[in-house]
Amino acid sequence: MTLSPLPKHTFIPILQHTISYLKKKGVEYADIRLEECISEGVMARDGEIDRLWDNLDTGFGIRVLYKGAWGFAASSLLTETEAREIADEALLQAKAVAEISHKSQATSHKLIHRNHPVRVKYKAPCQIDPFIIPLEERLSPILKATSIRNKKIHTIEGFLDFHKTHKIFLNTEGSFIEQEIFSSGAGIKVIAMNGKDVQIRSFPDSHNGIFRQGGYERIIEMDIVQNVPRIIDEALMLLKADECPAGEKTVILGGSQVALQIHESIGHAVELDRAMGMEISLAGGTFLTPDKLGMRVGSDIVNIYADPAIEGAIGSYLYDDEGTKAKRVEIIKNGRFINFLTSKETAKSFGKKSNGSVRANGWSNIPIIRMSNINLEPQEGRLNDLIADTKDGILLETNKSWSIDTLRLNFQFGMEIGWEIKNGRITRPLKNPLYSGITPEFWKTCNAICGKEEWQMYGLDSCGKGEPVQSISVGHGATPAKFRKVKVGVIKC
Amino acid sequence: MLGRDRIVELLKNLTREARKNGAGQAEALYIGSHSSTARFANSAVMQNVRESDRTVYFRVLLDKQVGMASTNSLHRDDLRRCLNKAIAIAKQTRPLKFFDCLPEPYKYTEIKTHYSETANFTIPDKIKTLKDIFRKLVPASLKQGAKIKVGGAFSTLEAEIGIVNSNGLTAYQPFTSAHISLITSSVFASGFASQFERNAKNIDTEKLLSVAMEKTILKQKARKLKPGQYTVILEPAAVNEILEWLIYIGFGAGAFIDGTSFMRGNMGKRIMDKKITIYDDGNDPSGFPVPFDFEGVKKRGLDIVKNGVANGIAYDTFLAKKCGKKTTGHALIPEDIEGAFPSNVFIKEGNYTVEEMVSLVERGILVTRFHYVNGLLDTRAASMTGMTRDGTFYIEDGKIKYPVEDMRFTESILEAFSRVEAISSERQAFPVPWSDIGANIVPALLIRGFNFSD
Repeated sequence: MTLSPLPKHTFIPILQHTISYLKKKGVEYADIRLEECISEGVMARDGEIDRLWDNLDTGFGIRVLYKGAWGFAASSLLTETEAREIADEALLQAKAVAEISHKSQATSHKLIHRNHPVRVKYKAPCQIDPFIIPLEERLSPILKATSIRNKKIHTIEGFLDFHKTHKIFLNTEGSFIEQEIFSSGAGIKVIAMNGKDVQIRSFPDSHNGIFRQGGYERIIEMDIVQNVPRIIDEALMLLKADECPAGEKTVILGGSQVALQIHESIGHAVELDRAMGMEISLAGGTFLTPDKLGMRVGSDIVNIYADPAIEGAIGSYLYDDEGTKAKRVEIIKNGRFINFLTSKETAKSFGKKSNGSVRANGWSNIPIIRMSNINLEPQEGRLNDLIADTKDGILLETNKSWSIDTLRLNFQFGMEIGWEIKNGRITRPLKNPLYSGITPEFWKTCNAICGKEEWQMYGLDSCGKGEPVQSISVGHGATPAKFRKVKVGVIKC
Repeated sequence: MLGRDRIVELLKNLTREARKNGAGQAEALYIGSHSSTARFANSAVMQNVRESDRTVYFRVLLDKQVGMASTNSLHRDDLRRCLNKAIAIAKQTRPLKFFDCLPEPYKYTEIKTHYSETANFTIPDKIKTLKDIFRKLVPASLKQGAKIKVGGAFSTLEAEIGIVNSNGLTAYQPFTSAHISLITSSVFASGFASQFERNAKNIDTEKLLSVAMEKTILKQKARKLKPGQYTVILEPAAVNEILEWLIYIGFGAGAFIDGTSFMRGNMGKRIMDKKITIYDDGNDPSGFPVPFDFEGVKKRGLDIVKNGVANGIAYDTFLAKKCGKKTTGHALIPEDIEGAFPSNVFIKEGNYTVEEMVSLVERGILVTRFHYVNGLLDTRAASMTGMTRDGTFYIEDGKIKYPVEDMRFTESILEAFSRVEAISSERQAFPVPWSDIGANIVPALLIRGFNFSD
């Protein structure tokens, strides 16, 4: 072969030398991440594999702070020469920015807080390594699920996804952090068609399913095959269902939609880099600027927190990608906004320490503020209690479409299925439902949240932010919840 | 950049080794890239990133069993492990009834797709360019009496793609591109401009700044409009957001097979106004030409919507064989599960300037761009929703009057594109999300009765 990169284990001492080299070059701070990710993805259609791929992705990224300016460079080529070149490139970038910025070296020393150095080796729990299960056995749930025949069903698609990520982080503070994390996800999509209409039902969630940390046990827990007949029936039911009527309604959102509602309207809104205008070019800003701390953004029963330390949640880690230890952060307390998600740099500008909310999508991207697992505190009761306590409303389940404005205020969600509720009972299915609202007004109408019996950890695998866009996995613990006076409507054109 | 000879030699060796190890047919695809992006916000450079990566993708066939694997480690052991993994996957998968052959060799058109000016455009060069933009904002702010800030991103890419298969197909092409976007904002309004080029020397920051500033310096507070149906002029950036979703939900073979595409059941039927023609052409020098797709199939033209009539769908070899069709040369990288998409899409130009289009509007709205468009509401009707951003203005009696607050549209794009009254002669290039090497080429549209839902 034409290139001679080094194996990962022999490359680590070179990275340690690179940290020393950067110190000698006068950087104020530097960190390096070496990441290796083994992944497998499968897409099946009607009992046949459409795409199955195996991927090994390895590389390292170096971030440098020099005279108050950042530089970042990354490469997949693990050689001594490349490590030096990438370090020089990151430094060159930082110097070029420092030259045109107005920060003096004296003030730039105060740009970030220092962490105490740590040496840590962490392995997230994984009961069954998915990569050692024979392929046929590994694929069998989605091959079986997508093979279920029903003349009226056009297609059944299935998705499987496994990752094993090994990450080594070292920095000029003297930290050396090694983390190994497995993640697994799966989902099924049933597409029903008649001459005029197409309807989709998904399990356990739309957009390729649910993603969790852990191994093959996560796929077994989902019990996909057992659930396919139910979602086939619902997809067929939707073809005959009435359109969801428009109007102001009491709405019960299923747990997975509460998860997405948290994600779009609260999770992104409390990222401090957005609040500081740093993401304006692509993702936008937020209505929650620092002067809004303490503002009421929900009813008294709405309590939302970030927790990167939940075992098995897809957004979990022990240390973030700046070497800050993961910790629980209260975001909304009794309906009031009390904390942002922060990085070392953004927190420092408000005189605080980072709350450990920084991640990068793989070795090739610069770390930025990301949600970990943003969760709604459970209250009490079951979904059936919420339904029984509703005179006239709609239960909305499984997201179909999502859209929100640049300030995370004006949102609209389309759903796979609605269930009409009359006098405490579900009366009929409704198709093509959507609902819309303005974030604080919407959360202020929340008058019931189910208890811990209904609380479930959901996981999205493709939350986009940054430029170049970084797609990352984010977890949300949620239960079904009820909202009053919500604008509900069919798709009006 | 490794260059043609080293890449082709590497891929030929690997495909030979695959055959020796039991593969009936073998394909190796190499993608190498150097990219760098300078991000800026609040009129200061905020983030610089540079990435250098190279990945080899293997696809092997054992009769009708297919295996795929990829690695970005060019270490000998990792490449062999990856190759053998693809063979092992093929051995363990069920044979596919329809797929038995990789593409045959082609003779490609010679196209210039690589410019040294872009390849050699460094981060310090970008920062100098940005410094110049920041400097020019100062007099504009003074003139306006309000501080104007700029944010955005400036990226360049140098990439090379090589493909070799055991049928004798050999393809290689280097590429470059440069993309800049600017958002200028004051307390009154914000404006946007962007430019996408193969050659970085064509980036005209002066013009971009002037376009964005023109929308920012309307010194009036934005007014709120009632929801309802308005005549709109969608500028190219707004049209491109919609086009991306039309491609994603409608023009690819995956959605067509699923039955979720609005094209299914409508081939040969009118689905838009006859003024609308949407085509893909990887050979058109007025776009971002690309000689072949990611499995080496030669690019040729595809009429997708011709004079408003649904006409063509993009296929790769795999999905084409599944449907008994021929590939149209639209394969993406092998691990993209969503299948074939057109990556060189043009909306045919009209013969108006945007100013002339504005003069045709008695009462309406000019939209610079959209935010967070989603086209999954009802894909059979191409129903979409999204918010306006960075320059939304009320038009009265053929003139732009004042900025308006951002609004949400919810609209069937098939219906909206059936009410197109005028198309601009000037078109703009935009990057496409599923391929680093193609571009959409898009005009502005004047549409009657566009639905703003809230």
